[in-house]
Amino acid sequence: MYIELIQAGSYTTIQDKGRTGLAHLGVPMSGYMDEYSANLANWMVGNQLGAGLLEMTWTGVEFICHTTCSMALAGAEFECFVNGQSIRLDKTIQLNSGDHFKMGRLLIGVRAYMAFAGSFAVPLLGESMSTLSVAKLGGHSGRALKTGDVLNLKRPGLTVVKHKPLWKKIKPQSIHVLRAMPGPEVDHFTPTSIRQALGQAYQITHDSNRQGFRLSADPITAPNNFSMSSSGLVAGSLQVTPDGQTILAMKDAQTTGGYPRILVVNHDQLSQMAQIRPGEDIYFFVSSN
Amino acid sequence: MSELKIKHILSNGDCGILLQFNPSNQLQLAIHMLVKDFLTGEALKMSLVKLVNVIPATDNLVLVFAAPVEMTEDLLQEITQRVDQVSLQGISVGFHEIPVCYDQTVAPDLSKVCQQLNLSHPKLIDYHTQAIYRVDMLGFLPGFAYLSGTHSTLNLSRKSTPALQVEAGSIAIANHQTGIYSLQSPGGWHVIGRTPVSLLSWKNQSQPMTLNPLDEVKFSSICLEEFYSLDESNVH
Repeated sequence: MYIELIQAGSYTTIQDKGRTGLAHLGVPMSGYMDEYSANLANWMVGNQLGAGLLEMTWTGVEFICHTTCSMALAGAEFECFVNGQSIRLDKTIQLNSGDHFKMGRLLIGVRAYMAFAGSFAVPLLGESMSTLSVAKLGGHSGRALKTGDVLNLKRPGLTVVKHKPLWKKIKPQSIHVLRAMPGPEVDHFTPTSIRQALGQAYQITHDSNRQGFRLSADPITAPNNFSMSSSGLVAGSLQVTPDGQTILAMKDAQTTGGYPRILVVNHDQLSQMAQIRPGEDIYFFVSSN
Repeated sequence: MSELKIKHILSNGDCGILLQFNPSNQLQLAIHMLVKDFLTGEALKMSLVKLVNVIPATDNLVLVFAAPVEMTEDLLQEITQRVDQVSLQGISVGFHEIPVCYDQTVAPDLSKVCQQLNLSHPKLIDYHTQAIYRVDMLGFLPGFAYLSGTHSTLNLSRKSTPALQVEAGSIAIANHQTGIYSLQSPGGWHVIGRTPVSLLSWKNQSQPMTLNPLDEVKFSSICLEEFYSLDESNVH
């Protein structure tokens, strides 16, 4: 009732809906970076919404399945092989004990989600199995998976095959427009800075992870003579550092922050954010009402 | 009368609400009471979506909801009412005596701190164990506790380059404060001691921390043998 990893990928963690009710103790929410795709993968194997699955970043996994189990992939698209045969990922995959599953080249997006029917058997911390590797907490031994790791499945089994609706697949895009709201400190920026922040294109840099994305764009003039006290930081907050650079807080961000936030990306846009590659243009759109 | 006066209410993204308070005497205390009320009291009636996190800071509080929340008049009124009802009566704070081993073997910055402060090792232990501390805040990283009450002599600014790994249980000083690292993490404070007692345990899923905001803490010095015999981090 387990899978054995032959290749773990560059950054693969167990994630679920996230850890709530503990932010006052400094515990970030964590959870799926692309909730939309994770929900799709869980649905395809009959799991409850919010169940734990694998989040892979840039590279996929290779494993031997030691049980009979349904599995599904959503989010970023990879070439995939079962026992050396190329397979399509637009429906639930039925794996038998001894099957060898391998992910190859990344085709579209950044993060892929692999759900197993019945999810994983790992201890819950704060009622969640999400991995927070910066604090060595949750998931599989509090860390990203390594080659040779064995993951126990909780209630593996075969489920009804479900087809991935075509419109739910992520599409390659070179320009992204993300809806946002003015940030709590927006009034401390000059009107020119705000116009610039909403007018210019941003790109994700390689200095980006589950805690936050460092973006690159022309520097935004940070508020003058401004000292703010720290306050609760939510995923999607675009923080402007004193040198004018911007950091977008993501799911593992620390619970409080002290940089002024010029805007906060809407909750339902974060899934899209998680699939954007460095080099693609991002614009933030703040509706006027 | 409540000690809490709302200065303004702002949205913090489409799922968050930031309550900014006016300065007042017992502000920290009142904010912590409000956190308790939101976390354990009745659910907000005027919100259609669930409140999932309450994040306190020095002079503000952020409410985080599971999905986009509309800041209706009704909801704002309900929140304001809850703030007005915060009472400082009948608070009970916990008291914890925490054993700490002040030995270079488990506290890598100890000798350097003594040198920089021009203090003997026993004198430093005296200063650090005689005070009664108060837990001001938990946060930044899971289980990190900020304590006020540190002796004025024991003041250093943070390290210019944070250490990549600070062990769980480390007791450290910086900026007039004492900090406790409940989990192993990177950190920029000067480690002067280490407790063998685990302060963060997931046996109780909803209340994993031993320390609560406003609790009082006293440190008692133990030797290296005692540290190893009590060490809970070796259990797993």
